[in-house]
Amino acid sequence: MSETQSIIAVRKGKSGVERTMNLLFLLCGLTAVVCVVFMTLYMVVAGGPIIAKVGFFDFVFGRTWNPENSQFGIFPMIVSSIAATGGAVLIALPCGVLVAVFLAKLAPDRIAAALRALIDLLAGIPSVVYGLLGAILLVPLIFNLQTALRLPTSGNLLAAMLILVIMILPTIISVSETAIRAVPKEYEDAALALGSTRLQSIFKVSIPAAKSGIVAGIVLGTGRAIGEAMAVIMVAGNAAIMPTLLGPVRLLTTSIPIEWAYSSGTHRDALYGIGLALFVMIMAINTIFRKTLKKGGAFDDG
Amino acid sequence: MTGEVSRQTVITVKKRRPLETLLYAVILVVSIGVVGLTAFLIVYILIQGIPAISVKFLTTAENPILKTVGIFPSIVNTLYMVLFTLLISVPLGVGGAIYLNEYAKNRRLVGAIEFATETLSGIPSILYGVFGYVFFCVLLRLNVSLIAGVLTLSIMVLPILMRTTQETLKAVPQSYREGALGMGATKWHLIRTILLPCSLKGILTGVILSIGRMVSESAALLLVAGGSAMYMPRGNLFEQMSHSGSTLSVELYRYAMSRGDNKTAFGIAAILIIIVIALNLLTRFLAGRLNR
Amino acid sequence: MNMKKPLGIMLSFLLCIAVFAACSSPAGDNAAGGDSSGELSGTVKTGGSTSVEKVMTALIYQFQEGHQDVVIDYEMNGSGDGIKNTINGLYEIGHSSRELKTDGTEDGLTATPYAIDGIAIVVNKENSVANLTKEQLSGIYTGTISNWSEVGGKDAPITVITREEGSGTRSAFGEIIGIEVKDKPETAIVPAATVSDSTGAVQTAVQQNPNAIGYLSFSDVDTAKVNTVSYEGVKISTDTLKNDTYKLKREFYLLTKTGGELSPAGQAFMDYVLSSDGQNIVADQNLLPI
Repeated sequence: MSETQSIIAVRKGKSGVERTMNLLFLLCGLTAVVCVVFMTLYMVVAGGPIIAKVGFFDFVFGRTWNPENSQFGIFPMIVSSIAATGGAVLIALPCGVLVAVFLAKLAPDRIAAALRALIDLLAGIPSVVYGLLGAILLVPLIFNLQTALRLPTSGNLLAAMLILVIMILPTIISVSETAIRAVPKEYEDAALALGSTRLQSIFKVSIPAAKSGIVAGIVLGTGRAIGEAMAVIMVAGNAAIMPTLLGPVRLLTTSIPIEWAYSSGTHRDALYGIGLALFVMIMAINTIFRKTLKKGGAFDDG
Repeated sequence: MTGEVSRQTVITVKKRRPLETLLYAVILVVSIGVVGLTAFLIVYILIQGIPAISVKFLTTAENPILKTVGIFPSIVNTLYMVLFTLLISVPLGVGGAIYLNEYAKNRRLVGAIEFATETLSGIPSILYGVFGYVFFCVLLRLNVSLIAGVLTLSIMVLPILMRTTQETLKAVPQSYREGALGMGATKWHLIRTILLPCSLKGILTGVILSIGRMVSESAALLLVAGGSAMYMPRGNLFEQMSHSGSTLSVELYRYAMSRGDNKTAFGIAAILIIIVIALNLLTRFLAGRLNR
Repeated sequence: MNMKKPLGIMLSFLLCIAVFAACSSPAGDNAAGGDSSGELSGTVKTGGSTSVEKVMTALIYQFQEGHQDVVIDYEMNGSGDGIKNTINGLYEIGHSSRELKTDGTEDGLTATPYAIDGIAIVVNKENSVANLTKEQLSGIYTGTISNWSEVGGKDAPITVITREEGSGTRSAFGEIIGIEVKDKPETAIVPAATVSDSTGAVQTAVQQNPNAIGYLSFSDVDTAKVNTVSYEGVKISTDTLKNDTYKLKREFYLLTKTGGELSPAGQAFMDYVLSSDGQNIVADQNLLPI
């Protein structure tokens, strides 16, 4: 009897600790939510005033950015951001998935391990280093192209795109690889048993099954690309005009650090406004992706 | 009928062969290209940067009179940032992941937290910079300082830690949990003695990834911790953290853009690459040892 | 038993912090002030122009060498920022590379010049153009002249590089050659111009782009990287700046609140800059002393 009692007593004692730890962990989890709430709140609080002042349509669709003359139209920068990010993702996605397939399915183990290590390294390289490399190696190459086409030589959209590709490639590769690896082997075995070739089973079975993971990789990659400022500043030319592939561009992100230091008053508010615009764009992209995920998620329930 | 079907199958298989080979070739070319590019870039940085590194470079601050360069202050700033950010974000991240995976019952809550984490990881660093400035520097009166930088970085790496820990926890076989609970262990006991040790490798991976993210961070820190690293560290820890200061990445940006001093910039880049390589090797070493 | 590893890691982190903290030497408090023995101590907050970086960091370094307990903070966010923050008291001393505006928005400050700086026009090393007149320069910057062949160079489009709005150098440059005149949109800088956010960034951009033209502080010019272009037939040098034949120039200013009191350390620093030692450093950096 005393044995049972002591077990109960021990369990009762433990349940206090249990509840505390439960609460503690809950709080930890809630931190993320709290942060997001605060962030949304402050982005709106900081960015709201300029939109109220200049007017939503004039701000978002205005084509002239000239703070000295109180012109705050960010449309060229929105277009440039979309162009740079879209172009980068368009190039990086197929390359990344192909490499992921190579790593996950086709490469011999030791080579795959070595390559994975190399790509992990690539992922860790700071954006400013990419910017430096871009400015020293890539932009002069593009100068040759611009000169051949009789265009003014300068930093440009193409350089920004290519830099972004290199930056988001490791993300897409590693997340896609993880996703592909996570697909149960049975799926592929089933396909092979039904007569498909190795590649068929990979591309028609594993990749769709890994879709949510790959899309997560795209979201991460897009997020990184659309938010990249430092590397792009060093290669993009920084003129607030509508983008052309070989012309100087300014993205939403690059405006902020360039003008941050000396902006004040309405100008600073305008930069907050750009921040808000960027924030809204990111949330929109995320939501769209999540909806796509939910649609295509039927496969995972299998 | 069966004959027809099998003939069709044979034909289609034959048709696919050249396409397959082409696809294999494309995969190979792309992979080699990516890998080759990576290797080239890393080697290039090291070749350009290592000549700039010397003992003097690493251990002194800049001397404008003698016109010498030194990056010791930014090295110190970077170390502070990393240490303090980890102190804050590791418990929060691991704790959050544990909650999500082991405790959470309410589907909506889990959904909310996961949505929040996903959102946070998708927010670009420049926006963290704007938010960090508005919230930590202005609202909380921390001014442009290393402390503000630490707090901003903590939010930034939180999703990384939560995600990696969650993935690792998910990978721990359910049987472990069932076994432990079957033997009468409480949840906390289970976490403490079985789940955490099993997940250590994954958590450390998350930590390494976070450190990598912190070391590479420049946009947010430029806005929130700004400044330059021109003087040797003075004053006690608290004072140092309340001053503005730049980390290695921010210094790189300054040297490359403002000074046009590519040699020093490459030197810092080489150091950063070496740090990243070291972090990677560290993960593998630790992972190996912990598996014993 | 298995909590030891993460605990161990935490503990070693804490140990590292403790070591760092111990290694740092204690210094003066944050309020700048002197103590009874006359030794200066404290932090002087300053900030502003990026163009003055080279000479200012040299001056600060040397001053701090002589006064070990003083820390002079120097934030580089542009002349406009320096002016604004000196007015609102954030900076004790502000740095500007242009004159204060007379339209009433920048009242309440005293600008003390301590150096004369030439604004150099720079082009890439490969560019053979050696001289530009005021008309040609303003034409290039407003976009009416867009090809190097129009000013005697090779047939290639001109890439215009300018500083960010709020740059003191940009304002000073614009005032002298007559561009960016308020209310005269035809004098605006061509929108496709590349914006660099500091004086050194301009030099880097010009160095790397064969068709670029830019302007920057003479103290920053490195003739190994770029060529300077004569302005109205006069080549920039300390001599032509001294004898006033080179007209593109402006002064560097220390800004203080009119009628306000500087801390002892702040005052000492200002005196130092204007002293012969300080002025020697100014001359050493390719500027003209006052």
